[in-house]
Amino acid sequence: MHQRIRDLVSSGPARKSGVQRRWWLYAVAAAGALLLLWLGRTPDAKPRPAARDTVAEPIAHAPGPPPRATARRVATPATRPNDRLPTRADDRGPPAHLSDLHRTPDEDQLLWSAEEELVAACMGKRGFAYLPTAKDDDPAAAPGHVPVDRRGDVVAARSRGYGLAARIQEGESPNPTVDRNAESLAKMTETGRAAFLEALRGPAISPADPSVRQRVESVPLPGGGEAYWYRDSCLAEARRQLYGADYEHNELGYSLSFLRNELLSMADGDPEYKKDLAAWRTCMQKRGFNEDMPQAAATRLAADYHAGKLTLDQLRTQEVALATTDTECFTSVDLGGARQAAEARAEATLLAQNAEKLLAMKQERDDALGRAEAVLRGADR
Amino acid sequence: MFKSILYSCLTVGALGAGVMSFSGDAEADLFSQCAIRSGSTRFLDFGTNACGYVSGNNTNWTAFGWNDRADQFGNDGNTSSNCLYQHANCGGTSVFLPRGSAVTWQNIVSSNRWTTASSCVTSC
Repeated sequence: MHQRIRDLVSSGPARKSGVQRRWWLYAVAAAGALLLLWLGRTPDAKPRPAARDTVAEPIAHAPGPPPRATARRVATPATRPNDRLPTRADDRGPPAHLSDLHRTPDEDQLLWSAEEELVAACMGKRGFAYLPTAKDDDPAAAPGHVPVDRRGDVVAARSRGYGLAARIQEGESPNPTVDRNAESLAKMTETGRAAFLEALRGPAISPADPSVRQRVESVPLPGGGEAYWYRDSCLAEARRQLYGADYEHNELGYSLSFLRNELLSMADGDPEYKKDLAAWRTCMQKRGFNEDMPQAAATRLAADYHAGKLTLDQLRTQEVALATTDTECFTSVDLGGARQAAEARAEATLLAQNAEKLLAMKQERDDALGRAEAVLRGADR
Repeated sequence: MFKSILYSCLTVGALGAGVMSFSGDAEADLFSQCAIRSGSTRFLDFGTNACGYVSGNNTNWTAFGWNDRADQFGNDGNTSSNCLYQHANCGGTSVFLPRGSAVTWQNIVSSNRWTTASSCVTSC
């Protein structure tokens, strides 16, 4: 687009002469200034949306009950953590591991309860009754859960390959969280439902639409990309109240993702790990497979299946053969151990380089927990 | 003199109009292409304008043909945030996608997991 504007600016006027040329130069300078102003107003490079008939207007509130009391009565039993949290006041230094920034299940429960409480209160102020959602119990987030590295699971590979055929047959696993607002939403008129969801999540039109751009927050993502949301939705308001005005930049936003992304990139480039990865490739080649990375074959096989080049049975047969060799080579060169060691080295470097930042992130975490406790104490009154 | 000023104004006006027309250009994105399905995360492949939806957990997007393919995501879930992952089985870099938010993260996502926790697990 900028090139197109430059083309417009550089054509035409150059063919004029004498006094007119000077005026054209002034005109071009003025246009350039206007252009700079315009670019300064819209600095984002997001994909722009299609023009829509809908124009964002203040939400038309459906007539609703006096909201606060309704929401809180429901919130308390469903989402309240059992006990007051243990304090972390004795732990004032920077974290020894990135994982030290993770919250305990009790802390997550507290944050979720408070967030839902704030959402319900916000929705109530806008004339909607919102039933807070109970927190799920994700086993993968349970304390002591040890992540399974399936890249070295030879037994599973021999029976299920990469798990592609099974996954295709089983489909996705359901999200276990119950939507407590589903029933009341189903009873609403279409207009009422749209107004409810707009109050909760923001307008349905693109955050990149010029008509709503002023209401949108955005932040860059690790590895490129961008996240964005409506700042005046009840969900965004609740997060901001809980996690602070700088939510998007703190560890509950994307800071930890950036650090983890950096850690993984450093581990990818670790010389020891690369040496063992080369040994894995050699092992695969000796057994007739030319692969670049463990488990990468799964992507190719799935693509062949979706392109109709493989039947499900053929996919199953091929994935078992490939995955078995893949995992056997993986274990024979102990690529899992090499990766762990590389990530540990990368983490040590990152921790040393980001001590101040990590300390600030830890403080932000503790501040959010303090706010959450205050929210829930207020709800009790 | 007056004519020169008039030319200047016309030029500025014309260029301004050009700028305005650029800003109004329609480009397909998630919001114009993919209808909301409440309770799901929707996503768009910029290359084909194809839309996809997940309402559950998926440890390997290769299984339904969307590995490293989707470019833009919107969480229209009512109960949970959705964690998007670079690799299968919740591996690699992740992006936390709270309800009511959207991300542009191109050709990366290979698995997803819904959560009410305040951060993403690192394996599933």
